[in-house]
Amino acid sequence: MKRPPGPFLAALLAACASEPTPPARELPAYPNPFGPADPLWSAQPHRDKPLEVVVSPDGARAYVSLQGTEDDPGRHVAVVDVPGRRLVARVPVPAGPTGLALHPDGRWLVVLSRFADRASVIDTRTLRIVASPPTDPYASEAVFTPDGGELWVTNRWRDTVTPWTVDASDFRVTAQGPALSTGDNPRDVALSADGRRLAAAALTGLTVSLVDPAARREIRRIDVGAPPNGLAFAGDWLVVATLSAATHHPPLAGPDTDGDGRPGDGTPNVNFQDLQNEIAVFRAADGAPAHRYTSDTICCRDYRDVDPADAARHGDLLPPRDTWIVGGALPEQVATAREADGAWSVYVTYAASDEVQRFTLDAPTGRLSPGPVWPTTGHDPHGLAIAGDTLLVAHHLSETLGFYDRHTGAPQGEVVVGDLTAGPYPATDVEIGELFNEVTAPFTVDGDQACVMCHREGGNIAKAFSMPLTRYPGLGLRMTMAYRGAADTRPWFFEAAMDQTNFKPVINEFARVENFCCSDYTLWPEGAPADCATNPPPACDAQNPSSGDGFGAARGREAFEHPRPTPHPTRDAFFLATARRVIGRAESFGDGLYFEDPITGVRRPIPLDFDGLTRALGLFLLAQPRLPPNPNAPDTAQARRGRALFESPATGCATCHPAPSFAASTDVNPFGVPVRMRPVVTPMRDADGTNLDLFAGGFMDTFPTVEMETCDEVCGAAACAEDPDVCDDVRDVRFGAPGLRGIWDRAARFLHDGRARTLREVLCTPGHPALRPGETGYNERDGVVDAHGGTSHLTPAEIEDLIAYLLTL
Amino acid sequence: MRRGEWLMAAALAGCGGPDGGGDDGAADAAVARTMRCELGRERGGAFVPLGEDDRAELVLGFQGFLFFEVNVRTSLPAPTKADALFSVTLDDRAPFGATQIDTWITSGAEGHAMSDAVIIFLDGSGVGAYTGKTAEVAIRLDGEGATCTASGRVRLVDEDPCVHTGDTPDCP
Repeated sequence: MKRPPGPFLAALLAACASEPTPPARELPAYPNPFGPADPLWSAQPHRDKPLEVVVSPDGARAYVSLQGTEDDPGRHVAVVDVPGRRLVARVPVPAGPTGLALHPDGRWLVVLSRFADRASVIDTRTLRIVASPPTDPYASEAVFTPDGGELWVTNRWRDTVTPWTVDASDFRVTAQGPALSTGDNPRDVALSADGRRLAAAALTGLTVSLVDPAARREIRRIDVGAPPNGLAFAGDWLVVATLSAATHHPPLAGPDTDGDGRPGDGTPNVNFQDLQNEIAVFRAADGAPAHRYTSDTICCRDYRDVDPADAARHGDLLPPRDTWIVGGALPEQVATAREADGAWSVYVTYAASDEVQRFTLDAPTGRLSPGPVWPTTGHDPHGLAIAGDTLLVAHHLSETLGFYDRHTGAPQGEVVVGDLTAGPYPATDVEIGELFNEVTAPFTVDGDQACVMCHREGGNIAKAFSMPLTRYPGLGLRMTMAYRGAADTRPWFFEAAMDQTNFKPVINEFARVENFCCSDYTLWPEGAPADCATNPPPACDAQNPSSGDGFGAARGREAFEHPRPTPHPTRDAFFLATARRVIGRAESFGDGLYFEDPITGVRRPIPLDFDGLTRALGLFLLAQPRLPPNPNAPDTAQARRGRALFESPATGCATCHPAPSFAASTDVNPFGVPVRMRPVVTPMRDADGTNLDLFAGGFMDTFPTVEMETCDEVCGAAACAEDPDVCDDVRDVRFGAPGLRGIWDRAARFLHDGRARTLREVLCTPGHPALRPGETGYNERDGVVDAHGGTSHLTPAEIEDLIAYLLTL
Repeated sequence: MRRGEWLMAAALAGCGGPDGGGDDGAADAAVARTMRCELGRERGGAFVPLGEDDRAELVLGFQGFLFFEVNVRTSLPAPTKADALFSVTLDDRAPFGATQIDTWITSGAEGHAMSDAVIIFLDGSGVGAYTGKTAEVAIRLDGEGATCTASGRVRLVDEDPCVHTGDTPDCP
């Protein structure tokens, strides 16, 4: 979906052979429309966002990349004296330092800056940059071969992993290439100790490319079914930190999303209960799956969790109990160490629950045994490295590098490597929202779910899910949406249903009210006692066996009995207590998140309860995350031709996707087109024609900005009174026009249900000559072509022109 | 007069502004025109002021959200959209509120415009904590260079036997 490498890089390499190194060119940030004119805006402090950490071979020094954000990138690498626990230096580098690779001899540190067209080579003896080899922007992570003769670099823009041949005597890159294609948005990369296998993890493409470095050949594309986050080799095994492959469908109903030839995803849990944290172990030699481990909370804290003994809900399809060993949320990075007894220690950071866990890997079998889960002293633990008996963890949000005894987990201090001039994190209401977005798990009933599991790095992943808002939950699909650059594309979601003030249904899935005694309407059909929150009645202490499904519970029926997951009688009490523990406060700062008296205009901070934290998240989405700067040149002849087509009345693209947001929204809508409109592609239908895109009636009643044709409108009151479902095959929902900015960086699943795998499939009408073998044109609505813009008249070359333009947005 | 003061004066005057309560205040580039508005409920398509019916049904909605609705009758030019900033005071709880952005204001049969429902979500204390209570509601509508405020009291009732947590109302 991205452009192939062009002559640009080759020319740059050639030029650098004899000329002094020119300064790096940096990609400019997108302007942020959320500014001082908005009453919710407030100035935000610069933060450095420490990301990766590497340690010198002697364990004396650590180097930390300070990545920053998309519109306020970091520009330094921190150098830390490990034994002394102190910051030695901050070495300036081009914008957005991300990946670090230390040469095996410890002399050269390569820094990849994602927004720059040059890497930096730092001489660790002098801490000076001695070379700036050219690279494409969005070089992400890198690893040296054991002999130090090659550096393998992933690139998020190109979707490649590329060997750089290195002369380490004075560190010169003598050759680059050939680039090997990977899945979408490769990030982490690891090399086996013997140098015979390399693994590159496609973060949003959900695959791992297993490569034979010597042969320059991908030997297997491993389908992980979920984002492969960090990964590391341990002897004959490849350990991948990931999430569940499930799609939130019932085990034996709905689309076949696990590819087993049967309906459903094969897992008994549905909706967000399917969101598990996993560690997968593959055989290093050939990538064959060996073991897969899942969350230790897979059952049964939330009342919706399926119990293994619950035959009615296919509890027997849960993973075996001895695989429930993953003890935190969002397994992010992995580090391994060979111990004296031959076993491997495996360390995993849990970014969404502020934890680290140690495992032991049995070398002959690759089996993991769980060790303790340790809390980190900083928020959003990301990169980690081992220095002797010390584990070093980069706290991405807290701006610190933490030290821990790697055998006991005992904290051994922190060093501030980032920017705390504005005060400890969080210091603003936007930062509270950011913290909730990244470290959501403590606020969830299961304790192991987070926003960023699916919205990886503010983007999306190549996966569509069953969502509970639909009329036929478990049967339909909704694509994960990227939520970068959301400030001027309200209302949000495909359904154009919500904004920062009305974001509740999503967060609700993490902590449903039925889990808390006083709001459990199945326990209190007429309402709990008025003083339930302050004086919980004895019924709140009941620990009843879990059974049934609360979705259909109603007054007058038998109470839905289940144990209470927390001692808090209400969800707000749970949120406030967790906010005190995690955020360090139970009230907003008031700089962007406040209560305003409509009459007096007086403002004051608000409690960080369910409503408060939901609004904090909405505020964060207005301010951040921003779109990654676009590396595609906008002024090529092909892009110009594509733009002319995009803006032409014949295609009509710009009418519903107008610049500058390329979405019809309440914020930007120059042509006044409806913000919500009938679907432009054929709805997803069941075998009997039932429209699986329809919304739940209760959803529309509670959030009335969502729109759907009623049965009465379409088929008449009489027919609908007899059978409310009579019209479901011909009724329609109303969808918004999603924004197109940043589409170059998104996972390659498009349209509301993710049916299109390429932009060509989105644009082309069925049978269009531009389609490639295996592709399907989805620009039709029930057989009427050009329903999603006029493209049937375009030549294949013009379709490619249009795509080229879209990739520049 | 500072903004807060004239907003208070507007409220005390029953939604009039410093110009005497008219809805024809001269447009000012810097100050929004102050218009009339009144709090009530939509019943069968018509606006019913709180003075005639102060009941507001507690709705147990999708996925267990608890809320009630109010509407605003206004002299804001319609159709238009306005941001509805509201506050609720209940018992001895601290006042709470939010903004419902882009709330539609449409023309009604009586010559005045009426807002779509402003949905006021309550916390997770459950229906029992709110039934029979009186809530003081204040609202400010801001849209199209005009503003108005209204306040009133609503009695929270639980008369609908159904729950609306799922796809269709579930009634005993």
